[in-house]
Parts: sequence; structure tokens; C-alpha cells
Amino acid sequence: MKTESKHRPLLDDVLAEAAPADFERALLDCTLRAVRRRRRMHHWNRGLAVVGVFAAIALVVWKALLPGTPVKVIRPALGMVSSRPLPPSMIITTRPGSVAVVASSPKTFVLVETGSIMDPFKEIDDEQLLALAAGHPAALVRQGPHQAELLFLNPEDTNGFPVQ
Amino acid sequence: MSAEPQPSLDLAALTAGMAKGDEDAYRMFHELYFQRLLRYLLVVTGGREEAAREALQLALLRVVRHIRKFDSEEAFWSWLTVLARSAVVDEERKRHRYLAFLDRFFQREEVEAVADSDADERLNELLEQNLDTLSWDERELVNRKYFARESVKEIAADTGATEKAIESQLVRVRRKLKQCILAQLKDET
Repeated sequence: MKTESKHRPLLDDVLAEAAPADFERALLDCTLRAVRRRRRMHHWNRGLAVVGVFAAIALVVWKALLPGTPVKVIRPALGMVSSRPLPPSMIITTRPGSVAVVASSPKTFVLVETGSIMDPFKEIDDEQLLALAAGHPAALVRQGPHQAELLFLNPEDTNGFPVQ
Repeated sequence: MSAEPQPSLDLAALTAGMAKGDEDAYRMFHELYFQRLLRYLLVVTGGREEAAREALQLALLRVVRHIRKFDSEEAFWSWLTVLARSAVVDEERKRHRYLAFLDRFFQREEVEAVADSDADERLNELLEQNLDTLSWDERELVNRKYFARESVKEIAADTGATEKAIESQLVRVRRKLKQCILAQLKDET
């Protein structure tokens, strides 16, 4: 640091030629011009801000004082569409109760299934018939070549009985 | 770069004045920092006077644009060097527009490297080195003028030369020293 301060005047003079006096002066002038320009800009901006604030206040006051001022609203042009009622002949109407409704439920009918049975009847002869009526007194009376009648002696047997 | 002592300087008032656009504050700033910034920029630009002058002009305009109040001289000087370095980079980029991309890398590296060193210290080192290369007469003249603080009139009376002749010799010696210092700075970069 001591050397630096000792050499400073010489160093300043040596390097002063790198920036001649007129350059230094010109640069100072340039700097001061920039300062003035910036100051003017600041004033201008501040002025604009003040004017803006006043304009906003004036607008608010104007709106507040003249609330009923009619504002003409320009609406976009509308296309008019006209319509008229249809003749009665073209109208189809319905009314309730004109159709009978049949309701069904699964409990109201019995499902009967049919199927193909090859030989639904079994042919038996007289002995087999009498064997079925075993235990119940009965008699087979022939009335003709192809006609016979089974008669039970006990009237209750005519109502039927379980066959084994 | 180490901060220069400014005992009587109220930096906060100076920078506050500048921030307000006070022209006197700018004149004082110019007086205090013009040479220092130029020295710094000569080192940053590697001894290229023209580049240093252009960067200085740009840096001073940026000072006007971005100035704010500083309380510490170190912080203020640090801020000024940042503006100065960025001005160098931008000027270089402008100069080599076609190589802007490469410039960005090379110049940044170069400038950042210089930024870490003490520019004034480097200049003093170079000055000392080059003082040793002067002839005996030249060295004697510089010693009497700058270190013994003799006036040109006294030196002229003592040597029997005219004041004008002494002034001319001093100009030649200073120019020689400047050329040597700048050439060495260019060689370094």
C-alpha cells in the first residue's frame, strides 16, 4: 500500500494520456446530459402519474355524482323470427284411459309343460286288472265281444282307492 | 481491487445525491472515480485504451441509470467494477457481433479472471518493473519530479535546462512508461 500511494501521482500522470483531458470533460458532459435526461424522465413520469390519479378521481366523482346518466348501449342488430299456431288437424292428441291395460302376474296362472310321450297308455288284460283291484271285492261283467264292465261290491270302492 | 481510502467523503450522501439526480454529486463522483475506473478498465481490457474508454463511457451511463444509495465504499466500488466489467463484455460483443457466441465465453472468462485480481496493485507492479528499465537520466528525472516532489522549475534550474525541455522529457518518459505497461497488459491477456 505504501508503494502504491508513493507511485500513485506518477501512475495517474502516466495513465492520464489514456484518457486525455478533453475526453474526460466530454465524458463528464455526456454523463451530466444523461442525468438531466433521467431527471426529466422522472419528472415526466411523476407528472403523468399525478395526471392519471387525478383523472381516475375525476372519473369516480363524475360517476358518483351522475349515477342516472343514461348510457346509450348499442346492441347488435337482431334478426326477427315470426311464428303462428298449427291448424288443429295437424295436431295429434292423446288422452289417458283410452287403452285397456291388462296386468298379469306370475301367481295368476299355472305353467303346464307338455312333452312328447311315445306310449302314454299301457294295455293290460283282465287278470292284471283284477290283480290291481286285489283286496277289494269286484267282478268283471262281459256285455259283448268287446265290451265289459268292472263292478265293485263295496259302494265306497267306486270312489277310488290306492293301487299297489 | 482494494478500496481507496476516502476519509472526508460521505459516500451515503454522495450516492443519495446521485440517485436524486444532483449534478454536483455527479461532478464529485467523476472527480473521485474517473481515473480509478479507467485504471481498472485498462487492466480488465488488457491495456487496450480504446476499449477501456468505450467501456468507461458505457459504465458511467449505467451508473446514471442504476445508481442507488450506498453506505459502504467497498460495496460501492464493488458495484462499480461489476458495471465496468459488464460494459467491457457488452462492448466486446458489439465489436465482434459475428462471434458473439464465442465472445461470451472467452470474454467472460477473461473479465472474471481480471476481476479477482487487484488491478491497481498490478499496475503498480508493472510501473515498478518499467521504472527499472529506464535510463539513468530518465530515472533521475522521475525520482526528482514524483518522489522528491521537486517542481519542474527547480529541476530546470538545477540542470541548466529550460522548463519546457524538462516538461518534454517528462512527457516522453511518461509515454514510454505507459506504452510499456499497456503492452505488458496486452501480453498477459
